Amino acid sequence: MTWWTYFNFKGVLLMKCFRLILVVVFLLLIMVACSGNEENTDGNSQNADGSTKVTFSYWGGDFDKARMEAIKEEFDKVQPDIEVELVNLPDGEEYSQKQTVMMAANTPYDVIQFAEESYQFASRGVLEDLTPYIEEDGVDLSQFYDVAIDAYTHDDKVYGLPLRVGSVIMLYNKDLFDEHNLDYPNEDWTWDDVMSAGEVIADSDEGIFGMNPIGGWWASTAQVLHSFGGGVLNEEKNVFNLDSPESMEAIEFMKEATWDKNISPSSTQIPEGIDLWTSGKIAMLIDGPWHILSSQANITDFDWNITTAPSGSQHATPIFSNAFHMAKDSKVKDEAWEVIKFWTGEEAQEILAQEHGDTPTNKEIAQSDLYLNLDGEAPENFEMMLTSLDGAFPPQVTSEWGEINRAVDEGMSKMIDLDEPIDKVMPGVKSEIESLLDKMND
Amino acid sequence: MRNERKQFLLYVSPWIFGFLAFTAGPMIVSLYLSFTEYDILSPHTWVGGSNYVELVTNERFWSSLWNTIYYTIIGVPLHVFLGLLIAILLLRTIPGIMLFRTAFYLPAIFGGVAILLLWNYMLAPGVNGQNVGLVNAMLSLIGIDGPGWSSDASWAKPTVILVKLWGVGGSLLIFLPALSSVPKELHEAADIDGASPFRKFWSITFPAISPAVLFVATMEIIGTLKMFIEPMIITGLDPAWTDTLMIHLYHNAFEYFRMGYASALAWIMFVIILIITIINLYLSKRWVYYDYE
Repeated sequence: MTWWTYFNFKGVLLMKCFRLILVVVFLLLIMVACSGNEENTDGNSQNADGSTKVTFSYWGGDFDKARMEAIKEEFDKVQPDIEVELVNLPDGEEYSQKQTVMMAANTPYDVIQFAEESYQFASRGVLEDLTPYIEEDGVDLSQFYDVAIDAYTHDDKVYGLPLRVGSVIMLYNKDLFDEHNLDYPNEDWTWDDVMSAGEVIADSDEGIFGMNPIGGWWASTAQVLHSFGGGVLNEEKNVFNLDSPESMEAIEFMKEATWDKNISPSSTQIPEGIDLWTSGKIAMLIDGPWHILSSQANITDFDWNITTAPSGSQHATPIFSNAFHMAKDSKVKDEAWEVIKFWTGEEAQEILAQEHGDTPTNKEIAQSDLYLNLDGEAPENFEMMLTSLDGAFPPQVTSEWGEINRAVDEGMSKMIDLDEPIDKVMPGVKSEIESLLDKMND
Repeated sequence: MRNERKQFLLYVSPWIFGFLAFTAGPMIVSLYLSFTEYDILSPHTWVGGSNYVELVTNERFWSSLWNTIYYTIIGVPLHVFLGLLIAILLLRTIPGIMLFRTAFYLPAIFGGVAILLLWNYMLAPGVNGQNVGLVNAMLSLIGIDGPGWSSDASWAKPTVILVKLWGVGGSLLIFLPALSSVPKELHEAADIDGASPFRKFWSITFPAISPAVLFVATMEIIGTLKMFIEPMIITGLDPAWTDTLMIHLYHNAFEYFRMGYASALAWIMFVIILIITIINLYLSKRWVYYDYE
């Protein structure tokens, strides 16, 4: 006799046993249901001492952690009734996944830091529109940099308030320029100037490059494309624009710099885990402002300075920022708003300004000595951080940001890192992105 | 007797419950979701078979499928063959054999992302003739100009397979006991008949351990068809060179908010794995011998 014969012959017994199983299942379900309820009453609202708990998730390293804790300390002084629980999560794709899971489970964090993925979530209706809160409390949005607010305004609704903002800048190694008697780059530099200086400095025997590989991730790609007047999408974000003459010119330039002139390394030429810039192997580094903090900390054997990113036919840079959003399913929205308001308010901005890293989104504080006075530390012309923000544009976010981004990255990598011909790669990228645009417009 | 039956069902009920609630349930739900458009955050809408249509028209699906099959066809035989070879070598009773066995088994325990990242560093290609990666630097010592590994279209897939062979010692746990349980008297009889070592292996040892070989091969085939972290971390310069079906599924489900499409993909994968496993088990009747037959 094998086990399944029980099912064939002993119907009555089977029924009894199934009843038993049903009871077990039922009990388990009750247990699950009860524990669920418990969490609902306990997790999100009143604490024993009458204060309200607001969960606040963000990503970042030690700098960010210290800043968030410092702001929380100030917040606790003015809002003793709100207990903020800061949750530091790993960044990148995993961060979005975690948020998706928490939202799907109906237990989202109350306040959520998002960057470019803001619209992906807002368009799926899981984020609270902050506009009514802003209007009710009379928060003056004009004290912020417009572009920083624009980045989180979707369909005329403000979904997130940002604390910090940055743009693509150029750092340059003064020693390498001195060695070749070249003039230092300045804010009027074009890509042609970069190319000719880069050609003089690049020395493949010594492993020295004129500039870092450009492209490779959305902000760098966008900076080059827009400086030539192109872009991945058009301004209304509904037409593929990577094959426009302006965009093609930018791609040609990137190919030329990497292959024909060999002034920037292709991604395979960069050893994993080695920072060519801080080790003095790159003359010009065109990337985000976070390189300033790490340069101040790590560069000891050469002089460096910063300027704005080079222009092609125009000056252009996307902004980097992140903003604090509120979950639609939060059970403590009023308190969550208080948290967001404080975290982007003056006290918080002043704490940020003292780091001299990312630019505070509050214009007045950004322009104050609190932020700009570095006490003689490099870079000399730190005010350039503010110049660079003029004419900066928000990233071209869409509800399919993640997928469009990957399609562009892969296409650009084929054209630039592998030097495949543009007309061979472009049709594939175009059809992939156009089908995504079609889906969005449905 | 009645009591025994009752107890049987009582004792298996946790497993049955677990299976229904955590395996069968989600499977049925995912089958349903594969016919819907579902972004996890908002309600799903029924779209019929369009996810499946999209799947077969998606170039990325076909390249991922081809990569997965490539890893299986090339990687699995290599894995089984090398595993068996190492096990045979480690069967000898020489002084310090336990040390060798441990040394070959250890990599199977030290696996995962950290080791793969190390491999990434070691396989890094050079800049202008200066070798950065350890592997190419060693190759250059004996006059070989190492390939670009992940950055070379023709090397990207073999690189993933090579890196996966790091854990080849894991099959020692199966092969060593199997090899040592081969009846000695058969070998002795063959010796007296003057059989060559190869003949002895092929006519005595291999049939005796064939169930173990089948087990290792089957688990390896299933594991390779679901391969994820190796190609995720040792990604080719163009990810289309190395991405597997599992990676394609992961991107769609968790990054592109396309759970419906990902569910359809999961079911296609399930069917593929099922068919291959059935073929494998069917073919195995021709070369696997069980004691009781």
